[in-house]
Amino acid sequence: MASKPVAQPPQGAQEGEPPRVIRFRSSLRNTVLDVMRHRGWKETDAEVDWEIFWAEREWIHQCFDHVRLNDVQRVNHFRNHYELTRKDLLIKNLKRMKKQLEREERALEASKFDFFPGTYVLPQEFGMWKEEFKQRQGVTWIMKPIAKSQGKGIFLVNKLSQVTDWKRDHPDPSDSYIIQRYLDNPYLIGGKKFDLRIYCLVTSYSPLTAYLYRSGFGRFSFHRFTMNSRDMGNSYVHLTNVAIQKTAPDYDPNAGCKWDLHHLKMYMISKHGEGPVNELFANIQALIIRSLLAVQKVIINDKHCFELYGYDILIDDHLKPWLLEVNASPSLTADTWMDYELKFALLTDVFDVLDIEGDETKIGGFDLIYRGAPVLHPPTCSATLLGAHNPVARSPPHVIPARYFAHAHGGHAGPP
Amino acid sequence: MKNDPPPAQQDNTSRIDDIISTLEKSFSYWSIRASIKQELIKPKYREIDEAEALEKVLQSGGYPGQLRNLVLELGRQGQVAPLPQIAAPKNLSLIPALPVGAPVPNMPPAGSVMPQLLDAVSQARSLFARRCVATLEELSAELRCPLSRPRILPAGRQLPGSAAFAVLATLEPEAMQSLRVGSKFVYEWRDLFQALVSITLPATTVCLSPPPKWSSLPVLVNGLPGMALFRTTFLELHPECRQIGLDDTRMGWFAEDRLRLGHKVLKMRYVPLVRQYAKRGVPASIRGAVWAAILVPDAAPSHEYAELRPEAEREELLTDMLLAGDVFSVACDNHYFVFERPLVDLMLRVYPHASIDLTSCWDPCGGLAQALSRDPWIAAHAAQKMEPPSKPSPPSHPIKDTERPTVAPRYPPSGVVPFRGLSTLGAPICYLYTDPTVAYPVLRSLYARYFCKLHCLSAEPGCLLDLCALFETLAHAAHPAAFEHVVSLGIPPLRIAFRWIMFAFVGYLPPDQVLLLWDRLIAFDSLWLVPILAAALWTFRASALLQATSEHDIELIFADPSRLSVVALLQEFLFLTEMPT
Repeated sequence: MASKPVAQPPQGAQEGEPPRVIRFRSSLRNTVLDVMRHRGWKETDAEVDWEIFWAEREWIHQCFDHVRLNDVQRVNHFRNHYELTRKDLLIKNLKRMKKQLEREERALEASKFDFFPGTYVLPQEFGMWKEEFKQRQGVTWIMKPIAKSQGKGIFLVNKLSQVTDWKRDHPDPSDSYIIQRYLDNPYLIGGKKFDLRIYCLVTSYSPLTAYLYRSGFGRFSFHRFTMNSRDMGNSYVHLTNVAIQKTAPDYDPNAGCKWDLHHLKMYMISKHGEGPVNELFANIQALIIRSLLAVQKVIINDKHCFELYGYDILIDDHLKPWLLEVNASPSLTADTWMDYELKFALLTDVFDVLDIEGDETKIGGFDLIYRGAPVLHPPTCSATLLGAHNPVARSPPHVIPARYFAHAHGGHAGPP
Repeated sequence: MKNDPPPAQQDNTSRIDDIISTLEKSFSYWSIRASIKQELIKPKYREIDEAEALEKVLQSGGYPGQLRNLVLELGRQGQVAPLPQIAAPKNLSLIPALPVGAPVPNMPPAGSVMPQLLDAVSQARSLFARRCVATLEELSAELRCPLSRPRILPAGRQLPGSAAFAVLATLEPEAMQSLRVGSKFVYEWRDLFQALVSITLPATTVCLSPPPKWSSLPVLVNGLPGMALFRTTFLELHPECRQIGLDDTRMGWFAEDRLRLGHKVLKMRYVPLVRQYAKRGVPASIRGAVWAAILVPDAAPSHEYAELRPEAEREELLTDMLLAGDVFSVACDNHYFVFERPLVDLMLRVYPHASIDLTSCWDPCGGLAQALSRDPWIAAHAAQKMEPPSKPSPPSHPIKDTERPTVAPRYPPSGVVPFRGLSTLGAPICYLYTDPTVAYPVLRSLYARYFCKLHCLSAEPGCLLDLCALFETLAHAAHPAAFEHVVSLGIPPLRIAFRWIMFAFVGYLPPDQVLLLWDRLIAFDSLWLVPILAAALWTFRASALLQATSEHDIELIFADPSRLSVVALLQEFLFLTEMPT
């Protein structure tokens, strides 16, 4: 039986002791802030006098090495997380891991590192790419700027001249791109292409300790919503992405629609049966672990650090998962009420896992998948709980910001 | 046989002869025979004994089940006496209290409806229908789209982006826009709710006792089934029975067991068995097959769907436009947006295929028979639901455009005025099927059997009025204080629950929970579960409701359905809630 949403008392109160107030600092003014306040923590803008700091990456790069932290203080990034999250370095690490396994004659494991499409860094690896291009006639390639995210600066390539032209226009070698074989057989739902956003929390790289979040979503690219966004007025009482995206301060007309992972998985099961879909989700989990193992040796472990990664995964029409990208700062700004719920719950569970208060036993919707070695779950139908029902109660209605509630009512109280 | 058989056996033999001779008059019987013959002449059976081969063919193709379905159907039509039941596979029926396929005793005895009530309801119905016609005409003028006209653009064109958009393509931009933002519709739930609560009995009626003060219905609905009956009817929902949708998430082996059993049952293709199986929920991977086995037992030939298509493509109706606009709004729902294209396809197939009096569409029994009369399947199968069954049978050939009257009283052809949100009822189906030729008959059957009752003003048992009355009765009985507290705030509890009931919980509960509810609804062949769940949900939040002080509070209480478990709610309410019976 699902439990009722009840307000949780401020945490951190141990019996007999005065309640320890957790002080936090946050560079983000979104869901992160709501969750931290909801836990009864106190915000501070002190330089280093806090228990937890949700920092921007820049702070880690510029300040982290110059401050001294005590045992309980936590920061939300590892020092050189870019080994995993920068497109070119990720590929470099994955390729290296694969070669190393081949050298160790672990061919089977090495062959499993096939979840990223053929990738080269431009302009440095132009020659190698050119060879590959000539061999694989008719293949479409995709160019992505290394330094940018959220789909900026991406373009498709199917002629050699496009790249030579690009090279001519980009003489600065620091302005590098990766060029990657374009996956042209994506799995479609309702004729639409999508990728998956899956969250993984790493609390340590030595031993590697990773928690996989059960919930996530598929992001569908929809352009038709831009056509009519102008007139999606108040008459629209459905819980719609459009209506809410439009009112959200960071409305991005290209953001597309989100379908929660649990329902996406259920749909795929009704189409393909349990077997293939459970295998797919188990492969996604394995892919995530392998990507972390590939960078485990190079990332500087630090007991103060943890990191919440957003994995972007594409499924092809043979139900094979492909790793597109790993984000060190996945968007925690919600664009719909449902999205808010997911992110509120996600962050609540992140803090439960981190156990800043030192009194937690719950870890919510996270499942420990790796601690020095893969963690096996109690026998269930599938090898992973990714995409499983995630019923843990978290955000009580009263913390839902009013801007979501107006829509939430219309959308959740049945069709208009 | 050496001696004469004993009388009982003789009786049985003559009954079987009787059944066979009836069967021989049906086309389905001969087509089953033909497919058995076809199977038998395959080379793989050439080597073995004829009898053995026949046995093999019968079992592997599920033919006995199909024949039994046929006999069952004939039995329901009163053409033959019912057959003895066939044995269920092991572990299907853990609680043997109800024999497989026993009729569900949930219909109150016929004739329990007061004639005055009948009159009052039919008056309200025709009033509402007249209003709908007027609104349709207004919309037609406003959108500058005649009620029906030949298609201008070639059929089957696909505009990029959106399927619903393509349907609207012939409209003027402004009209299209207003449809797409969902601001144009014939009526919405509020209008129907208002119509329902304003049914008025003639002043001279004195024999009816007035409804209790807490009820928002103006009339007392008699003869509703009680809790005791529900507890036997829905026995398989007892907490001692493991359920898909509850126990499978914790016990992997249970889900696997159910799946194995499901495949076995599906092979037998005997409707009562499949129903019995579905009562405890259906695993997602075979849900589509199980629903189809129950709802479309004699799998409709696929050419039928293809035949229906041109009809919808040859002319366009204002209601098509309204429906497409409605799909647009569904397509903005977080749970269903991916299905926009299949949904447009489905909705526009189901509804425009018939010619019918608008006034009769509000009577689910009579109206339904005609609702889909272009479609021979519906005409044949819905006829038995008619009371009385002597209405003229609808024409079986497609009506030519010239013959079709375009004036208001016979519009829209299906008789189903698309109200706001109608297409949400089709949305969960899109989770089950990718092939519209499979999805279409299932949705058609679901609509014909159940959903049409959810939005009709009728005094017939099991329709909206009854369902609403049941919600009020149960919710009040389970927690009188909470119910009356909300009433005292000036908020009719029924208004809160009305949308849940009218849409069978689509749009409120997440789709996985809706599908789990519909599993049971189909399996138990009963809409009562909808108001029962509504009452269960109400009661589940009773303590919070007691503290509510405004409508806003109540909205908050029900604002987040994302963590509700349908099965657990039903179990708790049906079997663990103390209630005066």
